[in-house]
Amino acid sequence: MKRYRYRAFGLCFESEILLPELNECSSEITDVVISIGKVPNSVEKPVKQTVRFQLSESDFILTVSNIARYRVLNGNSITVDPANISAEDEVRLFMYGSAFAALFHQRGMMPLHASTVFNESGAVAFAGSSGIGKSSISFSLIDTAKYKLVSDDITILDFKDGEVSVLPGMPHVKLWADVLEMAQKDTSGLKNIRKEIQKYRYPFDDSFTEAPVKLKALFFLSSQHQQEIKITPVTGTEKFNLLQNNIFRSQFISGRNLLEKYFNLTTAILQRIPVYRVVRPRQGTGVEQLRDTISALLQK
Amino acid sequence: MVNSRNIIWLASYPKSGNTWFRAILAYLYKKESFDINQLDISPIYSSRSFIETETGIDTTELTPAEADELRISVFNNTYGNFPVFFKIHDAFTFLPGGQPLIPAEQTFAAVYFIRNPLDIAVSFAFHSAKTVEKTIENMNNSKFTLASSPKKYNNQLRQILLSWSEHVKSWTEQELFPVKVLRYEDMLSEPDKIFYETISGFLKLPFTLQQVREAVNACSFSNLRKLEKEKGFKEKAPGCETFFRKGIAGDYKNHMSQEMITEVIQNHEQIMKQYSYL
Repeated sequence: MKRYRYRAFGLCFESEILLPELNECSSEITDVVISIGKVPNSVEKPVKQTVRFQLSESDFILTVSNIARYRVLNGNSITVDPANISAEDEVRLFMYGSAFAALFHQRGMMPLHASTVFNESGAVAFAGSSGIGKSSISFSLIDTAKYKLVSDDITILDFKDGEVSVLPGMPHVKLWADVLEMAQKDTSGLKNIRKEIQKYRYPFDDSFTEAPVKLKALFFLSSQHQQEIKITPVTGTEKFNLLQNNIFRSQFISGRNLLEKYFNLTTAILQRIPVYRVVRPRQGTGVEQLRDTISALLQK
Repeated sequence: MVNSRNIIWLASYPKSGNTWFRAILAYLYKKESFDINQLDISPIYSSRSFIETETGIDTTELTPAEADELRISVFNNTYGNFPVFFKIHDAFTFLPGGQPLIPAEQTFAAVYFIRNPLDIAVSFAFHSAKTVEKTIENMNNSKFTLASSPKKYNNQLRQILLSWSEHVKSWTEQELFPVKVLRYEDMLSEPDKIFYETISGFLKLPFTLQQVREAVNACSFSNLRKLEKEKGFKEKAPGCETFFRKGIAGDYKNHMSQEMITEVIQNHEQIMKQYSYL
């Protein structure tokens, strides 16, 4: 069977499945093998079990009804058991989200729910819950302010030699139709994530980094009923809690060992990176205002 | 099959007194830390976050029908301990596979809040920053839904409301679990009695008349309004000025033409008569 090689999030994947959303990997070392096969019904000695996923420290099984079942094992293999052979887009979509998240947790990589862009002065990451505008602000900075993409939706920080870098994710940003409309982008040439859903992958093949980028600042986005955008520097335990609360798919954390690892990683990162809390009005200000406010702050 | 009946539904068409009741429950259970922005004792059933935490699946990448199926599957396991409260604006409907939208077998009871549809038309129009005419049209529409745009992010799942009359019938005429109907107008005129009978008598929750009275006082409409003015209310829709606007009965007379009134009555006459609004 033909095998494809891809690079994302600092890992080299060898895959039986064609993954057109990822860039190719030239390295010969394989970190993760993706294959098609049978996924067992249950994880042995699970430490967590819900109706859709179960996991132990090294094993994880997820069921997405009528699409696929996924098993992530030992941080180095993903087995995909498709329920519907014709739903290839869907099978890949849920692998990039939840199965990748489980993989990162097994490897202790502490995925953050954040999008990251960069320019010559470094990378800035935007964290926050779904729908808060992480992808929109990143897209706006790339589209109009000469930034480039590091990663959308999932951000992996790499702490090495006293420096915090962000690993390149996938070379696209996922955006809803209303955001693209406001940015006056034509969606006709774009591919939506699924036929029924008007959320699109906007490719940034030429505005994407192949190498890790040093992190300059972390922004946590939230919204309130208010008139103006408020940006405040955060310190102390609030800073710590913000980062911990924005770990992507934290329900996949298997237990105390991993929590301790993330605790230490969080402390190390926060000693080096300035953190800001950004509160947006619920209505009235568009992404342009946010982009300009943040650009101005970053230029100081 | 799950046999424990832990769940209490706080069901209503929007703007019918549901949040008022939820505020009172929050006060009863968390008096010391009472905050109108923390009514999380009764989250909305259409919230994406509880489903995503339970399933690890991004529901924005599911179709509305798939998301409904995923949500009900969460209840294949027993969910929480009595009492689990859920606020819900969906009509009581059945999924294409035939199962109810909500876990009926785990349901202890539902409280259904009903309000004069003439007043709802005005209140809901202010709430959603739409005209009263458009709101009346939506209330007549058997296919009316909330959060159903496939073009943008919504922090809630798609909710099928049906028409106002159909919404009332869907909850009050089902026979899978007991339902107590509370008229908003009765809640206004005799709050102590209505809330105590419902909370202690119907729902069997461990609160005395004295405690309910205190909660009713703390959550009087003027107090809720004051709290919203001081701190804002996160459940308010972005386009509307205040969530707790007037809260009175009969305000429709100040905002509706005779034609509008006639249109509402013509469309909802049977239910309006049944609940003494005509």
